[in-house]
Amino acid sequence: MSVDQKAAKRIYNRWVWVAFIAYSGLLGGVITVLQNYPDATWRYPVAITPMIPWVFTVAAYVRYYRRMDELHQRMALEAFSFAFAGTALVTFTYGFLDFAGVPRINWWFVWPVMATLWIIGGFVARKRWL
Amino acid sequence: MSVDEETARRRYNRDMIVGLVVYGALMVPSIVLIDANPDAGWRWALAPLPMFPAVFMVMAYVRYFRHADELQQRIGLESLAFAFGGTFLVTFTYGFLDFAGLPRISWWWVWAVMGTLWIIGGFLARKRWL
Repeated sequence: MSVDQKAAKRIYNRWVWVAFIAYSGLLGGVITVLQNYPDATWRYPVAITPMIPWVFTVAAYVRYYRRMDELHQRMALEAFSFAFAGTALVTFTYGFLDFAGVPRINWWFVWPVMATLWIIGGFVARKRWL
Repeated sequence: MSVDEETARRRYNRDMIVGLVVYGALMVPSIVLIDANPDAGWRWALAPLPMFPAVFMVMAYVRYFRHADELQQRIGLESLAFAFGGTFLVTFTYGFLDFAGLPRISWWWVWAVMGTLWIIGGFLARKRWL
């Protein structure tokens, strides 16, 4: 890893932490507000405010990615692709079970599935290329 | 495109058409049978049956991908990575709106989001690299 890449990784890691803290703070506030004003029309824009820090994190990841060397870029892309295909298969399968009557799950829980598969994909890609 | 690559592309196209036909042939009777027998125990086994051709289609893509040249691979991977990041933002945001009271959507529709973002990602990647 080059010095430039290491610096980019540090910035990205810092963003993940900042986003996580901001997210937790906003989430606590949003839950309280939504519980107190269950009928307010402005609850929809308020509900999505915890997403704002994550948009910055995705942007930080893109910046980090652009500074990676070829090998790390390849591993990152392979990990994403693995997670993409896995998520499609998991959510689509569950969608069919929905037709059969299993309880409908909030879309919020799609991300934990994606993240788990991303971690597995990263592990597989690293094993293959390093 | 090399001869090898063209053969792989033809095979991929053929596999995709076969996959889609089998998918349609399994999905329609599966939905009809489940609707007609909403309490049968075997509906759980029947519901995810259309996933077999879906897995087959993912495998066909992986096979095609392995025969593609470096540039095509790069474009393929970048479009999937774009769709991965986009799906995270869309599903997580909708999850918060669900908490605020919007209707809960079946996970079946997550693939529609992923597929749309994949097409957009493919367009962006091609614009960048071709």
